[in-house]
Amino acid sequence: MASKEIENELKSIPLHLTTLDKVLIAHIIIASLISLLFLEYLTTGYIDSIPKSLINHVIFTILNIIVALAYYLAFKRKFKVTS
Amino acid sequence: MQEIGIIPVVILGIYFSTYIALSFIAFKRGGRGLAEYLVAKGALGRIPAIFTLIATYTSVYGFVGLTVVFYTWGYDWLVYDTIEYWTVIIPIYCLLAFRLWKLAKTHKYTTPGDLIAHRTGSNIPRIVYAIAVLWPLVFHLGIQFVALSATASALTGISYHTFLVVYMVIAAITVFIGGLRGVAYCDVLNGALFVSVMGVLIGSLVARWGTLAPSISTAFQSPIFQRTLPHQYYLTVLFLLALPWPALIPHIWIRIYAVERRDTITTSILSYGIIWSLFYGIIPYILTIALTAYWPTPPKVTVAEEYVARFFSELIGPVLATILFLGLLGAGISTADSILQTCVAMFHRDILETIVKPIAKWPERKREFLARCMTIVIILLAAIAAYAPALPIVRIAIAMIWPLYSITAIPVILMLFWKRVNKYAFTLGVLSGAITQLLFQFVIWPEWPNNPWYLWEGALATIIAIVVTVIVSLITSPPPKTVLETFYRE
Repeated sequence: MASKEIENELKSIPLHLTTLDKVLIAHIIIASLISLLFLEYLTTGYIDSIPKSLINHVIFTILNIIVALAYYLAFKRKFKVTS
Repeated sequence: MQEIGIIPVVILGIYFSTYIALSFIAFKRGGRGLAEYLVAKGALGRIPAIFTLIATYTSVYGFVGLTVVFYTWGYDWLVYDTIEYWTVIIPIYCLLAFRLWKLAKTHKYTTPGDLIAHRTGSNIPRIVYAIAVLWPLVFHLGIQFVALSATASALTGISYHTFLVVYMVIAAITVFIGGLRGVAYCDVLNGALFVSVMGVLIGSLVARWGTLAPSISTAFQSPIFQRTLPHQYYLTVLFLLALPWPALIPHIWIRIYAVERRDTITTSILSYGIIWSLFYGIIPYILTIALTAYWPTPPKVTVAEEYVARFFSELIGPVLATILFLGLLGAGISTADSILQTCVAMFHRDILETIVKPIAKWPERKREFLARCMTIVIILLAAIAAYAPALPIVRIAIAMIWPLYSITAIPVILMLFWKRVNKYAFTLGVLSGAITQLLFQFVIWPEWPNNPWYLWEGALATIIAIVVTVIVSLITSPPPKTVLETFYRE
């Protein structure tokens, strides 16, 4: 038998699509398209003999960490409000 | 054996003894029962849960495998295999992980097959899914052992096959004794070591960057930094290959079931963001630059995965390299035993107990012991995959494993979010995708990329799986209301 606290946590997660889920889906679509543009323009060739692919990697690494932090905070806030 | 050989053997011996001791501790603390053995009763605390979620992903494959494939095959293949990790995997993980966790907690699932059987109201989809996903999983397990054994062999001079046996035995003992909890406890040790050692290795590389610097600009002119793959290949990779990886690869999926508290899932979002970005993005790139500067032409080796260990051995000396690489080898075995444990759970619960019905009526202790014995069956199957690898491990994964993961995940995603998907649609979706993939790959278009349009190798079969699942859902009656009501109970 789950404890009362875990039961509350379970209730806080809906199975239907919420607004935050729609944001996630929009992110998936937009990020896919943007990353393909980046592949086109930011991975082929060199800037001052440095491969553009290196710059591409650095940009996406920073972006990914920012995105993870944003969703971490978003879910923290969401659960704080609903549970 | 090289001059240094005895030191790593002693260190590895101590390390593996600790490893097995941890699985004994897990066995003592977790208690008995099939649910405990398969999924730690869904009560894994925050620290082991976070570590096992991360360690299951972060393996020698990332550090050694991706670096080697970049170094020997070119930048395109690094992008191919990691693009989803620095673009879309975080939102997909958020979308799926909380739902899987809730469903598992509510309905007491122990394997992915439990969810599938519950949602479809039939055991047939569970069996079909398990068979279709177990075969790439066993290969996935095999390539983990390839990377581990090749790295250890390069460090010690002891043969690849000796290490293959050693690693397989250690992983089998860990899983046999400790089950999922044992693997998770070992992952705490592995994770801590891995992060520390990786920092020191990268630090040592940066400290000696001066010796490589004069060759860097020449290295950048290497053909491996040029792009060669067409855009349609990446487009199909991004949309079709990326979907299963955040949460629907079975060894990740089961770990989500094992998590006790919701906040662990929330914390894992941030952990994954950092880990995926660094280990699958920046680190393979930096290492490849260093390898190319050091060896503009790759030297001859027995197994390609030796390059990274050899490089560090020459850069910082064999003794220090060996000690540092223990963390790497530890992380590698964490992924291997996670996959092994998942194979055991699925083989026992979704195939054996479902097909041979009397087993499900056996006493709990007897079923649990039988599940533990499945470790031997799975490890022997993985040995076949790892005995004589002809290609770098990433190429094996690309050609054989990843397409089948996508094909099996697509009907699951549709099933979770669309109530029309029934047992026929799910079963035929998985079967049509898996069969057409094998036909395309081995009969119709045996040459890469297994289609005439330069799409990703698994693209056509995955699209077929989607189309079949949707069409069959629409032309057959929806699942019974009672099934949907219990499954989607809020």
